[in-house]
Amino acid sequence: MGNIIEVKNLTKKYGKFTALDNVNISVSGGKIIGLLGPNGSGKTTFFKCLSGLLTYDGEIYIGGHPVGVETKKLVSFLPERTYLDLSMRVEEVFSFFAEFYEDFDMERAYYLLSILGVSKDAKMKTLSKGTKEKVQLIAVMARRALVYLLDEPIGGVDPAAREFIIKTILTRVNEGATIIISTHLIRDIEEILDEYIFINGSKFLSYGNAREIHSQGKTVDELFREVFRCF
Amino acid sequence: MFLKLFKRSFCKNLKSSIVLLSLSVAISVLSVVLYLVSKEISDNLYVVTVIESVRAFASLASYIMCMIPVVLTFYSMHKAFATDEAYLTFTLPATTYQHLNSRILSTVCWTVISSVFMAISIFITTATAGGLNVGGGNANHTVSFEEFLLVVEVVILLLSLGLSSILHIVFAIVFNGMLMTKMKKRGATIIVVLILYLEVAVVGTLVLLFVIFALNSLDWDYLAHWLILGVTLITLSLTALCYFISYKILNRSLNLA
Repeated sequence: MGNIIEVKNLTKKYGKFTALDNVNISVSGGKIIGLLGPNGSGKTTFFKCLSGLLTYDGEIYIGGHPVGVETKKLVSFLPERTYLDLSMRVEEVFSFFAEFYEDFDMERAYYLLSILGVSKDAKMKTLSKGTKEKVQLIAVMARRALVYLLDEPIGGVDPAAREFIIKTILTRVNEGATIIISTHLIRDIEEILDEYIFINGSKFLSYGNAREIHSQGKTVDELFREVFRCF
Repeated sequence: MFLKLFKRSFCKNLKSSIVLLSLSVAISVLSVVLYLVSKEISDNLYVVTVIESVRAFASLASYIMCMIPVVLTFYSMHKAFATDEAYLTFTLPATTYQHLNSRILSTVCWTVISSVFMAISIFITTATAGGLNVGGGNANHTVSFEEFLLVVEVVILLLSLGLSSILHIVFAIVFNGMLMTKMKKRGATIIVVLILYLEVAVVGTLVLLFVIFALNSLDWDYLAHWLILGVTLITLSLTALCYFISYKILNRSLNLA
């Protein structure tokens, strides 16, 4: 399977502060990758560059296209904050996604909604924080995208739903699609990770195979703590 | 994609806008009814005063209701461009032109619709309540070509002023939304307010000159046309500038190409 994401000499600065410094990475299709790093290390900035929300120096290609209108049809991005119109009902959110994204699977969306126990008639502003996150995750994962960028998708979700999301939603995407997850709950997603990327202070420190780490009797969580030890 | 974006932004507040605009016309009709009632009991000065006060407030409420749909459209645009909803807006597969033009067009549409309803409300209130001598006046007066041309020019000027106001607010929303720090946001607001005051000063000065020339009858026909044309061109230039800068800010901040 070819590389779905090609990043060459990616640099992003906010004034004098460098959020990403000369990042080079190639990601192939059909993988679940953990983007792991401490707070402020550049994970969200990386996601925003890939999803076309920020301008940058360097080159990014997704599915062979430079980041722009065409790649937005291929990329499904879930930011860490509530970004949906809170005046909408859940079914209106799904209608919105179906209208603007040809790859949105309405049947799958309603199936996931029923499993997670959220009413389609509920207004977004009446939902709890965790339930809003579930609806957002469903809307993003119901697309048949090539790349899924999930920024803290399970942070505010209850443990039972979290397990379901990890084992069911995140693993059942269309063949060839790649999921990049940014999370601090490494132990929870460890079992589904194929690869991991460690990022710190604007630099990508390492890009490795999670299965190889497991075969050595270690966990990605342990490795993370070793690499980013505070003392 | 442009049509989808336009349809979404136009229909966002459709239900509440229809209710408000219908209410404004209803209040105008009520105002006329109150006028007719006050005519019937014109000898009771106290009641007539109360009724006229209520009519004044009702008229004001009616006009404010006509403006609310436009305000709601701008508010929706602000939410879509300058709050967390921007994550949703700018990850849609649409270009800068499509985002900007769809929003501007829906705002223009609602401004026109609101203006029509406001005109209807004013007409109902004034024409049927004796404030406007419709059908009266000099029946023998024929409108000359010069007068007709002047009216057309004034209408074009008012339309361009309206469009300019819309683009100024669009520019303020984009400018505020795309800047990162609070200081820059405050600066953005101040800059937009200063530009608006400058424009009002320029337009006001030109209108004042026009009035002076008219009063002094110094070839005012000729000068009136040129003054109106000059103000219209300045207004349209500032409109284009606001659009261009808004487009550039969006392109510079976001990857929308």
